[in-house]
Amino acid sequence: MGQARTHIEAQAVFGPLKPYLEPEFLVERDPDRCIQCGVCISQCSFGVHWFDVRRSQVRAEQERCVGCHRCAVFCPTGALTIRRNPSEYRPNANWRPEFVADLKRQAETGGVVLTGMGNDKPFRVYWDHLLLNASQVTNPSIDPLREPMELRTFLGARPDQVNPSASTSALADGATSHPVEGLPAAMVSVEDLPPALQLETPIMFSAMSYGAISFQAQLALFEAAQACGTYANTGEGGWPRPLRRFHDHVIVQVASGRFGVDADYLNEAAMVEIKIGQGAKPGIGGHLPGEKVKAPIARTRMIPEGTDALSPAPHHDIYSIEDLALLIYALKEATHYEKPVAVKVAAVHNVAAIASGIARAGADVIAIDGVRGGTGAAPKIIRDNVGIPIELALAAVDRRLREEKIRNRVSLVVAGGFRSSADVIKAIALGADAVYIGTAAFVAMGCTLCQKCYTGKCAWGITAADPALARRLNPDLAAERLINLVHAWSAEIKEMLGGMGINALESLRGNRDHLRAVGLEQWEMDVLGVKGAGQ
Amino acid sequence: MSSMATQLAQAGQALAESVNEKQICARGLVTRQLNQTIFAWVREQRGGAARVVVSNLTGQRYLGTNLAGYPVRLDLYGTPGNDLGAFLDGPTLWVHGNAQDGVGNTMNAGRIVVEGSAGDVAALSARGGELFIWGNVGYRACLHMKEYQGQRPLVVVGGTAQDFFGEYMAGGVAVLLGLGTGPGSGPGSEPTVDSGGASSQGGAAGAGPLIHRIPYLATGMHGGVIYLRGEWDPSVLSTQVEAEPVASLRAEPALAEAVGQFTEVFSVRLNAVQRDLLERGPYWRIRPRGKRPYARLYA
Repeated sequence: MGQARTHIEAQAVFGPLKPYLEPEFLVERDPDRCIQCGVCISQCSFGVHWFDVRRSQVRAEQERCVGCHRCAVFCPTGALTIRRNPSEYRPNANWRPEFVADLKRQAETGGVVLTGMGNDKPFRVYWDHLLLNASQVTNPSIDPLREPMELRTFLGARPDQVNPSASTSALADGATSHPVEGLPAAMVSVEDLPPALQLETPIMFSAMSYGAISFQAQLALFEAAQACGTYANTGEGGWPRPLRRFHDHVIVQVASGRFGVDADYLNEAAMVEIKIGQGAKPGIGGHLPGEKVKAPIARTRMIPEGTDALSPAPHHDIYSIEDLALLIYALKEATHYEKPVAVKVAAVHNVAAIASGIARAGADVIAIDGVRGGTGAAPKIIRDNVGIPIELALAAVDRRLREEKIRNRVSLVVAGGFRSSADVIKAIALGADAVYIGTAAFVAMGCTLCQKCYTGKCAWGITAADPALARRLNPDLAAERLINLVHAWSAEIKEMLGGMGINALESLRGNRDHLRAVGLEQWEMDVLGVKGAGQ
Repeated sequence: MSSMATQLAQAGQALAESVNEKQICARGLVTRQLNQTIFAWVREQRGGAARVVVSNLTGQRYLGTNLAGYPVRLDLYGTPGNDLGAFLDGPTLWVHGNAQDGVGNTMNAGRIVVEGSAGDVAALSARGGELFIWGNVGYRACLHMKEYQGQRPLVVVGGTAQDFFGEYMAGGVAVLLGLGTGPGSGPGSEPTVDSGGASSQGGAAGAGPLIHRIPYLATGMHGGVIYLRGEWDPSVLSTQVEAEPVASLRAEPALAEAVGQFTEVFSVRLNAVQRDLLERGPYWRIRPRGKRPYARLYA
C-alpha cells in the first residue's frame, strides 16, 4: 500500500508516467474497402476507432487495441485486419517480450498485472498426447445413427451396497450419513439412495459469476443447460432472481465470500457446490472492485452498492478436512439432505490426497479445475504459474480413490480448458464422470480470448459490466450457439464411443485401456495410467 | 432488528398462550436424527408459533439450520455442537449454556442467545439476524459480516473476543461489552473501571490492565461498525480502520440499541455493577476509513 500511495502522490506531481510500450496489435484499414460508415467506432469498446473531423476519415488509435476482432467481424466491407505488432526487440530467449511488457507496465503503475481467461503458456496439453481406440474386426463398432447410444450421466454418491428389500425404517438407527464419520452407510435401502443429478450429456457449464459475466451471458448459459438436459453453475456471485426459473438446471456455489447465500438460494438449486479453489488462481481469494458493484450486482450478491466484494483466500470456517465436513453437512442440513453437495478445488500438487479427504468429508461430487482453467480476473503471475494440468490431476485422483475403495462415494467433474469433444471423451476414459466447460462456451458465444474480461469492457457483451455492452449479447441467440455446441460435441462423443464398440458412456468411465500415449515420458504415462501406443 | 425477526417476535407475543410446545431429549440421537425430529414436529405446526425444548444435547450440530422460515423458538439445554444456527433464517435459538464453533454461520435472519460463551467463527459472513452472547467469543468472530438493504446483523458479546474479531467486516454491528462475563471471571467481578482499573484478566507488564486483547482486530474491515467497552490496545488496529471514543450512549443510537437489547435479553443475569458499567462506558467505535481499502491494487 505504501508503494501505491507513493505512486499516487507522484501522479499528483508529475501526472501519469508515459507508457514505454508499443501497441500489441496493428489495426489495418484497407482504404479501398472502407466506406467510412463508422461501425467500427460504435463496436469498439476500448476506444480504438475514431472519426477525424479534420481529415473527414475514420482512424485508429491502435495502442488501445486488445485484439478482440469485434470491429473486423462487424465491418460491413471487410476492410479491417487486426494483426499482432511484428515490431520486435532484439531476440532474447530469456527476456521474452511478455516479461518486458509486464515489467514496464508494473514500473509505470506499481500494481499487480491482471488478466482474464486461462493460462496461455505452452505447458504440455496431455489430451494432445493421448489417442483413442477403435474396434477393428475382433469386435464390431456401433453406428450411433442406427443404434441408441447412452450418454446419460448421474452425479452423486453411490452407496457401497443397496439392499433392494429393506426399507429405511428397517435400517438401524444412525446407519445413515453421520457428520462425524462423514461417510455414507455401507448399505442403504432403495428409498434412501443419496440424491443425484441426472445429465443427458456429460458436459456442464462451469461456475461463472454474475458480475464476472453479464446477466445476458448467464441467462444464455442457463437456457442452454435447460435445453440440453444438463447444468450450469452460478459461480459465487449470487443467483439473480429473474434467473431462478431455471432452478432444475442450476448449481449454486458457496464460496468464501458467501455472497447471496441464503436458505432460498440453497434450496432452489439442483446442487450446491462449495468452492474452495479455482484452476486459474489456486490459493488466492477474489476481489470484485467496488466500481463494478452496481445496484443489480449488489442486490444479487446481497452487499451494499459500491463496496469491494472480497472473497477471502480461505473459507475462514474451513481450516481442515473436519471443518470441510462441517460445512458439507451444514449445507445438507440446510437442504434437508435432498441435494448433492459438491466441493470444487484447484488441481494442485497433492490433489489426490486432498480429494480423498473431500470424499471422506462427505462430498457427493468433487470438481477439479486444472491449471488451464479460465477466470474473469486473476493476477497473471498466479494464473500462469500455479497449479497442475487437469489430465494428471484427474488420473491421480481417480486412481487414489479406487485404491482406497471410495471411488463410488463421489462423482468426479473436471474442468480446465476442454477444447473439443475429444478432450471430453479422453477425460471420461481417464476416470471423470463429467466435465465443466467455460472457455469453450465463451468461444461459442463470440469470445476471441483477448483476455480482457477483467476490464468489464468485453466488446462481445459476455463479460461486460456496462449494460449497453452487455445488451450486445442476445441471450436467445447465444443460447442457440451453446445448444448447438453441446449437441455437436455429444454427437461426436457418440461417434467415438460407437467406434470403440461401446454403447454407453458409463462403460468407458475410467477405462484407460481405450487410451494410448504418444510422445510422453514414462513417468507421465505412469501418472496417467496409460500404455504407450503400440503397447 | 430485521423485519423478519420483528414479525416473529410480535407473532410470538400475540400467540403467547397458544404456543405449542414440544420436549425432545437429545440423548442417543445423532445430528441428523435430532434435526429431522425437530423439523418434522415444527412442520406439523403449519407455521404457527412453536417452542421446542431440547435437553441433554451432547454436541449435535446445525440446530435450527433446517428450519428456515418457521417462527419457532428452540430452548437448548446441554451443549449444542458446531454450526448452531448456520444459515439461520428466522427461528430463535436460546442456548442455556455454552455454544461451540460457528454459531450463526452465514445467518440471514433470526435470533440466537447464548447464556454462556461461544467458540470460534461466530457470525461468520452473517448478513442479518442477532446474536447475543453472555460470556466470551473465540477466534475470528464476526469475520466478513455483511449487511444488505434492511438487513443489518447485530452481535453483542458480554465479555471479550479472541484474535481477528471483525476481520474483513463489510457490514453490521459488533459489540464487545467487556463485562467480565466469560469463564473464569464471575459476573461483575471485572473491572472497577475508573482510570483503567484492575482487570481480572490482568495485563502484560507496562501494558496496563486490558479487558480486550485482540490481535488483528478489524483487519481488512471495510464496512459496518465495531464498539468496544473498556480498556483495549489501539495499536492492534491496522491503518485501514480508525477508532474514536464514543461520547455517550445517547450520542450513538446503534450502540444504545445494541446495549438496550443485550440488557433486555439478559435482564435477569445482569447485576448492578454490570449495569453501571454499561451505563458509564467508556465506549469506543471502530470504523473503516474508507469503503475501498483495496482500490488501486492493479496495474
